[in-house]
Amino acid sequence: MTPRLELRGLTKRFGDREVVRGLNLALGAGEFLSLLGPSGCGKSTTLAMIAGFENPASGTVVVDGVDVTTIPPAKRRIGLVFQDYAVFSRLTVYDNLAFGLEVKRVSRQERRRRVDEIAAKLHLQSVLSRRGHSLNMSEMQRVALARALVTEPRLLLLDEPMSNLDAALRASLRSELKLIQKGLLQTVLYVTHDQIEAMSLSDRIAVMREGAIEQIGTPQDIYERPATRFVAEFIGDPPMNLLPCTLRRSGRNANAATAMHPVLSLGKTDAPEGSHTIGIRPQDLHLSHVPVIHGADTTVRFVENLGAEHVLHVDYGDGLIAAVTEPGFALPGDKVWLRIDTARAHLIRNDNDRVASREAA
Amino acid sequence: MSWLEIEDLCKTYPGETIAVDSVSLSVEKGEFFTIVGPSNAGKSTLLKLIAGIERSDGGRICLANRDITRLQPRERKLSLLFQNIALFPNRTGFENISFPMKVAGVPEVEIERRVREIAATVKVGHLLNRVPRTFSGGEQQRVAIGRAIIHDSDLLMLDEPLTNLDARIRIALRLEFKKLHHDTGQTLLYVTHDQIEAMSMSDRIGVLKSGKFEQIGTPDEIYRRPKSEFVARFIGSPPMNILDCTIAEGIGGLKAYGDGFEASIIRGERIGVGRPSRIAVGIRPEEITASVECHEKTRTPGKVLWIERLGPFQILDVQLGAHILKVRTRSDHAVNREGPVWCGFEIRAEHILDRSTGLFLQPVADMNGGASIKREEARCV
Repeated sequence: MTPRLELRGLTKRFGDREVVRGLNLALGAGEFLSLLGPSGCGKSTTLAMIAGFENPASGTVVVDGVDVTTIPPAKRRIGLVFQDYAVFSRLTVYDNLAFGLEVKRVSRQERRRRVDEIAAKLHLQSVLSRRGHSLNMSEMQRVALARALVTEPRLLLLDEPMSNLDAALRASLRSELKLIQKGLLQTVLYVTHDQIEAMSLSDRIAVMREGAIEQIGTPQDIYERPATRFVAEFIGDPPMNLLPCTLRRSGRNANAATAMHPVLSLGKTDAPEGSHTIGIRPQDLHLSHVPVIHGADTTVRFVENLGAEHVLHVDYGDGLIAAVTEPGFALPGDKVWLRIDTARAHLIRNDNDRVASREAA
Repeated sequence: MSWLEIEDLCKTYPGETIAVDSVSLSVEKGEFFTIVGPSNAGKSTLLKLIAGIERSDGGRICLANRDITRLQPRERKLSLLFQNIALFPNRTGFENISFPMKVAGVPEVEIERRVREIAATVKVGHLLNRVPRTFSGGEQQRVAIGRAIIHDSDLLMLDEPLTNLDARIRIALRLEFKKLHHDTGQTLLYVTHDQIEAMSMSDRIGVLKSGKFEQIGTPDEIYRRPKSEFVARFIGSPPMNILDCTIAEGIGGLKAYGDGFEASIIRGERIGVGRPSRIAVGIRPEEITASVECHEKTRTPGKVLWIERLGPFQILDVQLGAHILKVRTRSDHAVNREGPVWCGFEIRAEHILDRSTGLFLQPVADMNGGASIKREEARCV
């Protein structure tokens, strides 16, 4: 089947700096894909090229098999939702929704019909005569979505729509956005630096770094099987612990020695001997108040209370290591034994910054 | 007297509602105190009154045993760090950090020594000879913190210092603030709208709503024993589920009966006083058990509408009768698709809400040292 959107070797330069570097990406119809990365990774520039606001230095943007790279933005049948939703505050909701159709010179009667139709789908009928400034955030999001959807776009682009809102509001807007997208089977490309949003909303995530896609996969893939050091560090809250280690082989099996765990059996791996990094998520560390086999004894320094769970920062070599526990498990100053679940540990190679492939011994 | 003592502080802007409504607060020396609340709760106004940037309409502020209510801002011996990091763009990290000491006329040798010391504390030694545009967001913030703490002050106040930063940097700086507080012993007054920041860093939290403290307590107290529905829903993500119900004697103790569910009340005879006409119970998302089968502990049938997968854990939207509950489970949990589900939960005695006041019923002490009331008093009309 023809992908809804295809990017082929998309490249953008600002001066002699390459901000998007030969991007290849395909999006299926009805798919929700997020471009996730830190500021300056090229995700918004990519979005701008898809929308037609920026011209690529090379490469093509293909929608439903048609090359639209040189077609002006208004004719690409791509809908846009901007940061903070940008609903016109002085216009009524009806005029907000009709705006795009007016620009496209759709007849008055047809405008009425299509606005009513989308308003019904997004439960906006009761606010059609209200002005933008009087809406709550949930209504605001739906108006922004409806305004983009009323032109029946093949593809909807959202550029960090929630980035300036508080956490509680973001959580409720996420579930609302997902339900709308699923209900309409709308194809969405979502740009964000917030991994929670990307994890929660997407069918697939493309993690971007310095203008290129570092890894692409389902949220679970990205979380459980990061391919590179960058992805391992970027995904996860609190972030993955990175422990310097020395790798020794005996036959095909390998052991790693860290500051406090002299022998971590990693099974078979293709990584060479020498200095590498063990990546272990705070959720995959086991703490105990009594000595345990393979446990290193250490001291709790700081406790972050997150309500449903606590993050303990405990001494590890010269630094600290973070572990997620049940609330009330330990207090600063407590002695604990720390065990690393090696099945859940990632061996990150220092020679190429990739996660080494492993199989159990 | 506490280190910072605020009594009946008031502020009303002309033509507007009351911004700070007779607020009293005591903060101990060396404490990390956070004021948290939604926008327009009066957080920043309160901070400005303490800093002396705004004049109060009434009340008293004492810091380190001095009445500072009528003093000029710079006589108050406190430092303030704003949300928007205002570093001097043309000056180096060193010049930015040393600025307050330069203004105060401290000798060069002393400045040099202090800047090196502070730079080590906030880990910006490598930035001292560079200008701000070459710094990352986190580095800019650390230099700004360095500038705020270089001058000995009786109180360091921070106004949403992490708000405009990337999620990554925010998580890292949360721990940095905690370390900084631990290492310097500085008394901190921190203002934020982010409950995670408040919970994770503070010794105590004051939840501000419409210019008044709704509740003051340790993060644990605020999370486990919220005084009001507002606090219960503001602290915790997702927020506490609030379910309308009636309470009556059932088999094996007091029970809550609502649309689509019934649940035991833990320590049933120890619930609050009064006879509220409308009652609800609160239950945290992580306190609900979900299962694919009907068990002794999961007897309530429901429907999973959506699963929000967030890495190590997931949030289920579960419909029970007319209610939609947020349920938090591990991501390797057996319930992993939309459709039928069985749920179970017990209600803590301190999580029974009087709907007419928006306050949770407070357990009261009885002769046996516990908290108790007669059962019929708790029964709903």
